[in-house]
Amino acid sequence: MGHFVNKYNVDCPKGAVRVILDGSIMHKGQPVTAGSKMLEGFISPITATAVTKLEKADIVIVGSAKMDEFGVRGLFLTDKHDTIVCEAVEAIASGAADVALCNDYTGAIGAAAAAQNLFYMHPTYGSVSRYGLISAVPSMDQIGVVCKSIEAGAHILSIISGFDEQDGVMLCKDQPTGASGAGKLRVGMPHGMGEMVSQSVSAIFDSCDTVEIALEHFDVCEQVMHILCCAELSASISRYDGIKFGFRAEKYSDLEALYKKSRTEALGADVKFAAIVGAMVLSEGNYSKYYDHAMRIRRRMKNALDFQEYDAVLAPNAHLARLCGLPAVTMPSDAGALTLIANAGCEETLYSILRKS
Amino acid sequence: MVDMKHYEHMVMLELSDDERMQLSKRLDTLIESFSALEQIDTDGVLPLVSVVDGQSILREDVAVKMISRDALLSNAPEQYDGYFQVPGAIE
Repeated sequence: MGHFVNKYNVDCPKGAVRVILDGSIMHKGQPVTAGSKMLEGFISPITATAVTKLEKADIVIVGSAKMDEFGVRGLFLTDKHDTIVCEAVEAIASGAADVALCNDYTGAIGAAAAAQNLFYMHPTYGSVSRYGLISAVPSMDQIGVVCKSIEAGAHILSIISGFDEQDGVMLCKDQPTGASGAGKLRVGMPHGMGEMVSQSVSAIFDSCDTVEIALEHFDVCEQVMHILCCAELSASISRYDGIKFGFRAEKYSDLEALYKKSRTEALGADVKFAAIVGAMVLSEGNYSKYYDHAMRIRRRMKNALDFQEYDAVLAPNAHLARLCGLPAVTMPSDAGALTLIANAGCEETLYSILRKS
Repeated sequence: MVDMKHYEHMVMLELSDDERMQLSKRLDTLIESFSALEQIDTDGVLPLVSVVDGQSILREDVAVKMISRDALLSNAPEQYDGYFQVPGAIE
């Protein structure tokens, strides 16, 4: 099975685009587990809107990829140079599929893609329906694509984007469309990116002006991500109770024991850790100090971005993009993975910059 | 020192002693990293819960059938006569 957790037996016409789904995207009648023992044996009762749109456009779905449990591993990498093993990325690198649909809320899939000389393109939050995506961190969950070229990714995103009333949090239809590509575009580089990155960037963006910028609280993105992601994950996985679907422990004495044994036996260490951190930051006495404070910092981060001054921002990871719900492309460079971020709805700006590079 | 058992109970988990010790160490390290946020003054700033912030389009408040009862029950670990089956909760 290689990279696949579920490989479909499909005929693929010559020249057709082959898409692999990560393990948290539903396709009716197919098993889906989000990489968790908790969902072993679960059969998708619905098809994700993004998948329905691809099928209508004659794109071939070739199966689903193995993934780490609820995609949480990337949140807890201890070294900034560490990457996760992402089978959806490996499938594209090996040629088993052309494009992968993933929910990279931590940015780790993007980093894994860049390490394989691939791109991860993450659209504006609320522009692609999450209906049929197993929820992890709702305020950052968004389906994006792993691809070999900007053109391939942009093509898939153009098909799967658009309003869907089955996702309760989607953007209004009238959004800015971004730069037309006329004139020289400006890429903002936050202070402290390092000389290595600066040199690498000059080579990538020689068709753009680069400007050094100061971004308030840029240095604490990781801490804010930890607090908000754990809080939301803790709430998202509370649905796994061994009652309505998913794993149920064999032996239990009463209802509370059923909950505890089922969850303890089926959830992995990182997910348990995220749940506990989430419970802590949301609990009475800690809520203001951690969760509420982190959400306020998140607003200040978003307000600090001034897309009148520059067309895009370059960052060493995707945290800022995810926290602010902005479109971003994570790409390879001599200095490791870099993420280029544009204003909401301005995916075209990113494509313009990267096509010229 | 964080009271791990308290939070385990809140999220309906029951860790082994080994697992509790490992996660407790990880939690201490994480909490230490959160100290970088202490000096940031956020008085007067509204929390940003969702970047969509009230811009989303709401559908009409009309009930629609999205999934059948049978389809919903088909993934249940135990079911009986069209219902989810659970252990008795009332003595």
